[in-house]
Amino acid sequence: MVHRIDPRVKLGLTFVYTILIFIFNKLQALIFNLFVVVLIYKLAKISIKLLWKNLKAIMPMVMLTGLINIFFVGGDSIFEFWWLRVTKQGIFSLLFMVLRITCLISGTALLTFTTSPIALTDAIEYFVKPVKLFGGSPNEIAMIFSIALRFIPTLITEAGKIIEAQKSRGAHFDSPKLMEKLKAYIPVLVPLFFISFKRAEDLAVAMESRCYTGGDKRTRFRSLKVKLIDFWTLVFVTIYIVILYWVNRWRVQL
Amino acid sequence: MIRFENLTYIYYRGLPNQCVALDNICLEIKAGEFIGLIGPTGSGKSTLIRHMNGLLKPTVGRVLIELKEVVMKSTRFEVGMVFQYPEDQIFEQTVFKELVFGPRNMNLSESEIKKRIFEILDFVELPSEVLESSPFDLSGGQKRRLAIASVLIMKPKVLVLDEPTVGLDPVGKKSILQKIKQYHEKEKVTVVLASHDIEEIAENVNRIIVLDKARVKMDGSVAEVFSRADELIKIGLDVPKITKVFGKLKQMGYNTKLVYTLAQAQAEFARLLGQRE
Amino acid sequence: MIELKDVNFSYDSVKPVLNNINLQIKCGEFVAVVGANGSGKSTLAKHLNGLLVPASGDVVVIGINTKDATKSLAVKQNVGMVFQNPDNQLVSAIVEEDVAFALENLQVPHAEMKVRVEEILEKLGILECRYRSVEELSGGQKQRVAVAGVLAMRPRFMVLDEPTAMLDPQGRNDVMALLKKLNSECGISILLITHFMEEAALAERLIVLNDGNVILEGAPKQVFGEVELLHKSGLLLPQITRFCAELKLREGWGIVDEDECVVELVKILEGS
Repeated sequence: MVHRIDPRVKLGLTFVYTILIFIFNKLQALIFNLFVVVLIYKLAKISIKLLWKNLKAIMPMVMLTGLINIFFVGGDSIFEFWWLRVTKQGIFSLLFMVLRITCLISGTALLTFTTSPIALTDAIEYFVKPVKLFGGSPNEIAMIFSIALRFIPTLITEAGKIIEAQKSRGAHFDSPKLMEKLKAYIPVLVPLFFISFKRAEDLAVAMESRCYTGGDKRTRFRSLKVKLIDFWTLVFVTIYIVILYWVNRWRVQL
Repeated sequence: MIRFENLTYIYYRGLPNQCVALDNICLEIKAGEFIGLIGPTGSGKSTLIRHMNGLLKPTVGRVLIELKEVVMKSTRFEVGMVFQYPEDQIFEQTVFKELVFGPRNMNLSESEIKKRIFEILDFVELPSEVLESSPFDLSGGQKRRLAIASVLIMKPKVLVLDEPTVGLDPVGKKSILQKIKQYHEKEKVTVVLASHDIEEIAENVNRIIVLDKARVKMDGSVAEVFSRADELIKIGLDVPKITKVFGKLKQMGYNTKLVYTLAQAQAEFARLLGQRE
Repeated sequence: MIELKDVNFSYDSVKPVLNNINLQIKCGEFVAVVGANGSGKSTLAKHLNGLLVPASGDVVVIGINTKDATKSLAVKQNVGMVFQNPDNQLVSAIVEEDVAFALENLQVPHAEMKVRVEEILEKLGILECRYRSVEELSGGQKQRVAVAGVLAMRPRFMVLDEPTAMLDPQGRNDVMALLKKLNSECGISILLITHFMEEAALAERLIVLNDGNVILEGAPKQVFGEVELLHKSGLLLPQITRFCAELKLREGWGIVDEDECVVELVKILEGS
């Protein structure tokens, strides 16, 4: 069901959601929010494991900054060692940070999990419409996104082939040293750039041959229509925000 | 000698889209053989080739070269690999740098490298003036030769070519293959040629391995494999047209042998004419 | 009709790429252009839909001179182009959207677009892949989508620049069968650029380019009789054609077909 909501609505709500996460500053609001997000995951039939994978990648960074925080936030100390001082407020701030990031990632990931890249492009095109006022072309911007989406897998395959060819001539890609590893990848980029330019040139000719002239004077094959579900989504989200606001105002004694 | 022992390879193992690319392959390739590897798209040719120098590791079974297990680190210089499009392998600013990339990875002495460069340029018929020019400025055929030269310069014992002539014009194709054949005869290396061009295979190799649906479908001399034309056609492959022509003559009652190269066809037809007189 | 009159072209105004080309392609014809790499084939192709305009001389497509910039869309719409690399000409990641690309550019209304796209996908037998990602398709299928994307414009001519060079034999046969069908059933004129002589043999008329000059023109069988001249231009005739040529079977006549070859051989063997 979540998949069927208009991508524009989803993109807009994701934006609002990001702001809300930073406005609501109480632990209980975030916990409540996380609970609701998990509920939506269940509703959209997305496995929580997938989300956990995303979170795992970024958690070490969050933990690290959180840990540094623990030692530098002043307040009632619980534990002291040499010059390090762990405070209640410090632990609280670590917890808060982890929670906030988790909310942020789980919420925004919901957008990418339930929306195809192409639908997202359409939504972006809708939101960049104001660039028209400054002489830009929303259609061209959308075209750039959609061509990028089209060619990313192609270029990944290409890079794989180049790496194989160079490995076969004795290049090292598995050196444990970071600098050497980076160095080994430079020769991969050269042909990759070369091939990409060639592809771009070919594509430009092919597009021109199919009567592409740039600009906004085009009709669209895909069209977005606002459905009933989009209306109800907006209604529910508004109610939810009100509830969240109310939760955020609770006084909870820690 | 290369030996494949019960080689099985599975892509995306354990995932829903898992796919068996090679299924229990047992093969032995002797030193000095010129092998043609054919099979419809998706039959596992590329996967098999990538096991010869350790780009892929077997899911089950093993691949041995000279009785040592193939591992990228230790055996990569024994097998030279030429891929489909030269654009995927060429990356240096000059032809010279392109050629020395492999030998320098092998830690050869500079004097040895110099010697080999001139040898190889001469062999692939690239003028020494191109050494300082950018490889990207070469013509299609020249790029292809450079790509091959940059592998041959490492003097591998086994040369593996994955469709080395695709996209070239007929005369360009022929000249590349002549070079490879010459090299095979001169250096006595083992060559494995994967190609879709059945006439190219027929004219050059002395043994054909046919892959179909991840398994070895046929393995034998060129004559043996082409004598099973019906089976080849059934799996989407073909035999040279000249073979078909003589096959039809045979069906019509003429006493003719199986032919698959132009030279054989000429000799056989002369024999038939002689018989009549 | 497409008409080329004394067409000259050069990229750097030093080395001529096309040299005084005079050609006509009539409606409904199937013409093949052969030539080695660098003979000017692709440059010639790009002149036919106005991607390039001649330095001197004229290219006239159904009465419109390609130099007339105001009518360049009409030229492109009437002369569809398919290129060698299937990956570099598909614009959209989804099959049906790629087919619709030209229609979007021509500002075809949404409802009509849906109908036309479906019709073409159906005709080319790829309706079941309409929602699929082009990445998942085989080379032959991708080329089929490319042809569909061009057909959507309802062109009268189609120019294909080595459309099978990167395909396996299966894909190659598929594309060739498709071209034959479009030509005979839909009456679309086909200009096929190739260096596979077996493919060129399927055309009604064959044009041989060498260094920017038309050196031979005629029915494939006649052209294939010129073994030496073709070889000098970097072209190699099919094995059986060479075999027959060396036996001097029907001089000045290139034999491509197996059955014809068998008939001729039997004639000799029976001494008639």
